[in-house]
Amino acid sequence: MARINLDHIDFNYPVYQVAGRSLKLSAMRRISGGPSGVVQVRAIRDLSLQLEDGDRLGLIGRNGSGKSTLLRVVAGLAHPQRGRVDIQGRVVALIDKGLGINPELSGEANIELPLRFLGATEAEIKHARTWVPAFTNLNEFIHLPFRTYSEGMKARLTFALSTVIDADILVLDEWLSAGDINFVDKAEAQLTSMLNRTRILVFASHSLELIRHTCTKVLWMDGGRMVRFGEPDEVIDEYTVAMRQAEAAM
Amino acid sequence: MLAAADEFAAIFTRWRVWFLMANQDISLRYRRSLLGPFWISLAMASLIIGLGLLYSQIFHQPFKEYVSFIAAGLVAWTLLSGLLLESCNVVMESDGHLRALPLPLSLFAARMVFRNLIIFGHNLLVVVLMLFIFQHRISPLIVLALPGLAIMLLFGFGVALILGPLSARFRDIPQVMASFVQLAFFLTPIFWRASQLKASNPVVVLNPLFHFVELIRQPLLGHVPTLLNWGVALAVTAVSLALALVVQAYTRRKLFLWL
Repeated sequence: MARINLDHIDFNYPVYQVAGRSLKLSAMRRISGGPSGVVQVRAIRDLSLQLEDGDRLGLIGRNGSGKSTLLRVVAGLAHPQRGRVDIQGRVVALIDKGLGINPELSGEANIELPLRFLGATEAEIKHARTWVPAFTNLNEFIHLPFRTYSEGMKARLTFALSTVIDADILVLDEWLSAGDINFVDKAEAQLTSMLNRTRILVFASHSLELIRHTCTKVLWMDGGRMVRFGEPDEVIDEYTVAMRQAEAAM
Repeated sequence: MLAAADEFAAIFTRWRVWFLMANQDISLRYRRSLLGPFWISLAMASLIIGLGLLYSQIFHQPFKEYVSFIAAGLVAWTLLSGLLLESCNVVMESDGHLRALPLPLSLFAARMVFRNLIIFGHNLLVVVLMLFIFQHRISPLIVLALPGLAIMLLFGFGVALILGPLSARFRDIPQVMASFVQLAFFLTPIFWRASQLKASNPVVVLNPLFHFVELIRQPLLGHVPTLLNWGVALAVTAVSLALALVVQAYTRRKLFLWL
């Protein structure tokens, strides 16, 4: 069973000015006083959230509303300064595209490290070694360096690497889509089967349609706070109205 | 503290991650060059011959003996200084990874250590070859260099877990370290002999780097390191590992903010 429990979390980013990065200047300031060279940005404020098996959560909100930060909290990257985080289950975080891919190495040689980063087991890597070349249809290109690939081929390989292992909790930033793959149907099927094997999905996207048909719950964030949380249709409709009003007011 | 120790353990459970990363680092550095990583060996050979020719004249030392001394010292120093300098970069060179995946920092420290071990291997090849040419024999005592090597690697691992996160927070630490290592190269007996100073000279006795170098250099030359060498190196390594644990416990949750 997988579970996510966030209890009144606050997360602040310190933004360091150049002086705040210097050991010498920081030490001198300690002694003589003065500005700290650090500005705190509040990315998440007093947010609570419970998710269980079967939940598919979509995050919506403007840029800078805290969606990405929340993904990183669930991924175990960002540790809130206040509140409690309890996450049970194997988390796979697909936040950055193509992490661990070495452009100088062949597609074949690029299978292992990205998957090891994501925490793949031996069995999963063994499976991926045969499945990824077959799925991507790279043929003899699988033996050539990644940097020689066309954009479409690169997209196919990163997509395959991202969807080959199973997660209890899948943390997904919006880059992963079947759209830029030239065999959309096959990719859609793969994505769907991966999502079906996932117990909890946490997904951030600007595509409201994608969220509407993928997710069972939607969290609308603004300024690091929860604005609405509930059924996709309700929250998305309300969000769309609010966005239109904001646009009209401008 | 427990969680930090847990992260240390990742180097055993997820060893393939650092193993692969270090191997890719090396092959990437020397890709598409004729000799590949053996450029490392060639550079070391020319450095040893060059320094050997010059300083054997300046110090009026017999060439063959001096060149062996400098070869054994340089190979140990190159590893030690590589570990110290690259320690500062273990977080910054992987900031993309640390921003996107919850990977234990120990993996990146181990990657840096292993990368330096690979380079050491290439250098050692040259040094052993030179020792054979100039001394006509390799002493079986050479195996005593292995525990010395292990201690140095552990020390590097500890330093990386201390300086890596701190350098991410305070970006001037790598500069300080670079100056320090350069100064240390001249203060540590590598191309001059400790015996050229008075035995109790603090520059030698109180310099922990000297003791680390001795642990590898003396066995290569067919001698046994002194108990003092062992004692100091072991103590400094133990302190660095303990400090690493403290730094890890303190910075683990904040590291993400410093990237």
